[in-house]
Amino acid sequence: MKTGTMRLVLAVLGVHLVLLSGLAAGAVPEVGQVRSIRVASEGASLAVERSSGSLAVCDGASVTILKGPGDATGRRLPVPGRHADVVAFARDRLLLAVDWDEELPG
Amino acid sequence: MVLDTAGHELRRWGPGDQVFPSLTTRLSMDGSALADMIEVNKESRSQLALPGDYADGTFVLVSERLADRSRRVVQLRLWEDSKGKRSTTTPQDMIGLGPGDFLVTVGNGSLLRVQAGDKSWSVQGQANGRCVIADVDPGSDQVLVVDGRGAVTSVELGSGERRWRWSGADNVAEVERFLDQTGQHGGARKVVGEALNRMSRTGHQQAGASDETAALRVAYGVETARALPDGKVLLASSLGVPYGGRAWLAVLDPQSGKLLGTEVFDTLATRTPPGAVVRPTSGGSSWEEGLHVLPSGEVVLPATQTWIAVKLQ
Repeated sequence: MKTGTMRLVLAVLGVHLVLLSGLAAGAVPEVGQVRSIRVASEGASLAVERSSGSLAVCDGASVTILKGPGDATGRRLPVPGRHADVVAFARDRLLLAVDWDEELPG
Repeated sequence: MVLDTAGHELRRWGPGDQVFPSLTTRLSMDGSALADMIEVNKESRSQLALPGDYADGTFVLVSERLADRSRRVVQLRLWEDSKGKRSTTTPQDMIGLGPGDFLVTVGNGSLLRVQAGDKSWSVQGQANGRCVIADVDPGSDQVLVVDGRGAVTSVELGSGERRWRWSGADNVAEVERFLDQTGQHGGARKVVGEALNRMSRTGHQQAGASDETAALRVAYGVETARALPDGKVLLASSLGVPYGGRAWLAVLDPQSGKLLGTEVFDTLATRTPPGAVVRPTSGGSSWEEGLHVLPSGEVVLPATQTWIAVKLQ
């Protein structure tokens, strides 16, 4: 395959990947559109990183970082303690309110 | 505790920690520091090694960089009135923007920014009562403050210049026009009547406000606000609920002072996925935890079985 054709194929592939990741993150919602954040079950706490639009959803035992409301899987981080709620999300930092129970803080 | 998104634990504290960090400690807006506003007393004086001339009952602003745990403690000076007298107002709300960079509201409705140990600007309040920082949006360089009359003020974050102030009590016809669409025709006026009745029965009076002012606040005032990316502002109130009113969400165009479209909870009632009924949150901390804005213009709200994101405008 010629170099020019290869570049074109890669460029088209790149555009498709960008579009797919954009749709997964739900980057272009329509006015009036309502989307469920499926990872966030009833009772989950949620915080938003304002500049990027990333979401942190905490079910009490773990925090899931989502790229946006359309991100169905996200990245899951375990949290210590008996139960935790996410309070704030700024840049790459999460503030969690943790019920430590008998676990001593370090 | 503070965790980074790679799962590394950066700071942990427990219920035994009473001064700093403690249950009231928050993450700064830039994520780089912990921040708190702490009253000077015997315990805080000892733990924070405060100078002896900091009087009991006054406040200090404390921040701690997460990277190296270096701390900055700044005395909050509120006594710089025009006659040089010490103010009798007390601080109400605080948000840390970064290490040593704080926004503070005080009981006379004023907002001030403290940077590098000194006051960089202050905006005079227009109403007494609890004044809260509703939203800080670095993207539009503004902070939204809700004062003791339930009015929203936008202040430029960099300069401290007041951009606009919108009060429902000064826009009664507009709020009534908007809320009358919800099917509770005349609901706001009924809230005013019920609030006045109850205040006259109980003899309860809000500090610094006449009965009429207090009644106008619960019927037409807001509890919180969020800056939307298109320059509009989301307003939220549940102040009228104890008086037979309803919680409402509205989009304000600050340029025209008009409330746009229809009431958000009503709109969502017909649009949410089956089983996911949006529950109107109520009151300060509930709004704080349950009303988020995304760069896409979507608003994130809790529903009964999940959370939802809705594009309003």
